Amino acid sequence: MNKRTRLFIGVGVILAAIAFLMFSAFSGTTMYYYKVDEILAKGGGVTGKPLRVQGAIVPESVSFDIQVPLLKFNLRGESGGTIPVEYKGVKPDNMAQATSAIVEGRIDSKGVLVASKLLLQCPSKYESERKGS
Amino acid sequence: MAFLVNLYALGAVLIGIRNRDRRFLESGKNGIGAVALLTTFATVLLAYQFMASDFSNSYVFNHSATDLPTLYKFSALWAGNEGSLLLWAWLLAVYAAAAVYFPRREAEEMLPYVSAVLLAISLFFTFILNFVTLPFASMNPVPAQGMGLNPLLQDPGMVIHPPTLYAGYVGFTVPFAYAMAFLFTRKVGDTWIKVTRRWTLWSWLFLSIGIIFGAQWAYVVLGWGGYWAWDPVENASLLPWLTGTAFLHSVMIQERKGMLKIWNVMLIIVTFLLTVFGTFLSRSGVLASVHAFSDTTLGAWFLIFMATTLAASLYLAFDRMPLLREDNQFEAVLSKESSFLLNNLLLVGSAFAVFWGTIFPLISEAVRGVKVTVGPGFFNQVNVPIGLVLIFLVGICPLIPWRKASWNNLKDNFLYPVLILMVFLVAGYLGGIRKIAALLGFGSAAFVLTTLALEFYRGVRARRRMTGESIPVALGRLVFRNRRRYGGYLVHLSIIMMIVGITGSSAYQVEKVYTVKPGQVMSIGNYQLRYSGLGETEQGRVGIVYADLTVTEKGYTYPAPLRATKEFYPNMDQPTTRVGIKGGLKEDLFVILNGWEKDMTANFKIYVNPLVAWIWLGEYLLVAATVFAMWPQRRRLSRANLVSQAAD
Repeated sequence: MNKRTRLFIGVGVILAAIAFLMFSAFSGTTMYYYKVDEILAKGGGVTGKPLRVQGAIVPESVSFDIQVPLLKFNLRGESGGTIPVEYKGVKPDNMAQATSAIVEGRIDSKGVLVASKLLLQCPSKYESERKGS
Repeated sequence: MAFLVNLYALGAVLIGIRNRDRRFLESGKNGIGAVALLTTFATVLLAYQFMASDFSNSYVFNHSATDLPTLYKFSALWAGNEGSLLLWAWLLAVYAAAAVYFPRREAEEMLPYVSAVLLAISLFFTFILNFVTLPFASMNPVPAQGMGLNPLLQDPGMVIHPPTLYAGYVGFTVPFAYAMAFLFTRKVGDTWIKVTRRWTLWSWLFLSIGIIFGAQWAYVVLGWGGYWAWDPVENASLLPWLTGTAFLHSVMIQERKGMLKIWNVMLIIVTFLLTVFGTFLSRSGVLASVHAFSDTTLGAWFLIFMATTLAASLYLAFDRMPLLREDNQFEAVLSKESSFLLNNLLLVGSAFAVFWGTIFPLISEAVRGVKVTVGPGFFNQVNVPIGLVLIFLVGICPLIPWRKASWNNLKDNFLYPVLILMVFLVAGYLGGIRKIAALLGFGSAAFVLTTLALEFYRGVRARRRMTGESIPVALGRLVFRNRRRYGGYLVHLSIIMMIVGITGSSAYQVEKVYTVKPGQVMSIGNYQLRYSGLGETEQGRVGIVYADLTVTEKGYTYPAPLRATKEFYPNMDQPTTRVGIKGGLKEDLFVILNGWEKDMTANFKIYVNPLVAWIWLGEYLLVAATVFAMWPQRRRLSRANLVSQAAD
């Protein structure tokens, strides 16, 4: 076997190893990104799967118990349907100001989205909203 | 007036391209100078408007206020799209002027093409600034007070992070322009690589500083306990760093052996595009991210620009393929060349994985109509193994000989490092390091440290044998007379320091959440923190609520309390968290005041982050070592000149 082929084999093995790493890491870490309406349309089909859900925060629904701590609120879709969210953690600073949120977590058997991570979206922070004025 | 800049740039490009005429060339050069002066003027003007709180400029109105500290009035310059892009354009113009007015003699033939490429890129940015995001849009009527700067950006980290990152991003444009010029001129040789070495190092240095300052900012300001979250915008800054690092190494192979020529051209094209991609990601908001900016028209322009550049540069590279024929071939599977190749494959592979993970939501949405994101787990699972192999390579590469490694040579060079590694692994395991990644992380660091020490030891020994100098003198001269080589080793050392920090903090972070009443004590690791209630104070228009915690470590009570605060800024509905950090070489105690109730019951999140300080220390060494490696070696050159003159 000449050196060139051996080299190519070496390179091939490394590339295959990287591809394998990517492939194996991929399956366990993907999360489906849905809007609230899509979740509601799927019914129980997404229960237990890792999800990323985007929706509007219903301001009246926000409640927070500092003792646990546990934050509860509802996410509303464009159609008006809502999903209850529970987050075992502290209320983020910008909760009052946020209009919508991206919630990462899983939906449990009762249909509650148990969040592991909250990403709040606060439109007033960003200039595109202000440009009209 | 910014429009004038654009006109000048446009004219200069056209003239620059018609390079047959010397006078036009001169004019093109002056055009670059004019663009540099005008963008400088625009930047200074914007800075002045910020300092003077001139709210007739809507960009100033949106990002500043009269009572902002002077430093942050200044840094508000790059708080939004308009200012950031102006900074890009300005840096590019200044770099272009520097490249054209202070050229290296051997590269003079390439200059017209270099100018044309730089001007074409600059044209894009000045176009954007004049027609898409205008930094000088006016307000009417003029408001009395500005909207203020996002409090998260009011941190020294955010003063340094964006400009350094951009200085790095933009810097890669120059080697890219030279690579294109090399293809245009069909001038066989490696001139483009030699003349751009310092540009590459400069850009790499600033990119590194930018990334680490970004991480430090995230650690201190965002207050979630970590410094890196594989956020798309973070990834965007890491991507060109990975390919840039690969480029930095693979050009050495071209310089020494005349190999990997196609690869190098491709790498610089990719690196340049990734810097634009990074700007695009952070400035267009196509992916949901903690840095949520949004301006889709801007995004579309960037996409067009990137696609055009990619198509043009690839066409050029394939059209000139014969120029890129290799002078040498790989002689053995085990050699320095092959270790460089492996280093490159791993860096580019890692870049590809990060890129794939970052844009996957877009791809899956386009292909299947569902946005699928990949979590930090993906990036860690792919990059930790690649990173570990890379670290071992850092140890192996300097010791392995060029062309072909023999068994004896391997035994000579690697006996001690491998022994140390084995001892370390066993001792580490017995000592309680049971996490495999942590064991390998620290182990690889120990391995590399041994090989580095061996390299320095051998160099000193050889010098002493030749010159009979004392050890410190020999060490000093060895390092100072081979700046490039030993500077590179010191950069490796700094990377190792960071690896130690990253390994420690990611494998052994401890996290606790407490809800406490005044007088209660929280404990974590070796620390006890006593909460004695909240205080309130004011700083200008900023209201501050703070908790002073008395910290006791293993029975010793620190005299100064640790303060965690929430700050209430005007015009901002939500408070901003300021983390309390008690840092040390061994570990950081990191306290977040989460919230409270009327009876002063408060909630805290506390972390112990081991070894984080080593990341920042590594950063300082990285800066020092890179500057050292870049520093021109005048004395030796002049001596060599004298000798050659004497010989004439």
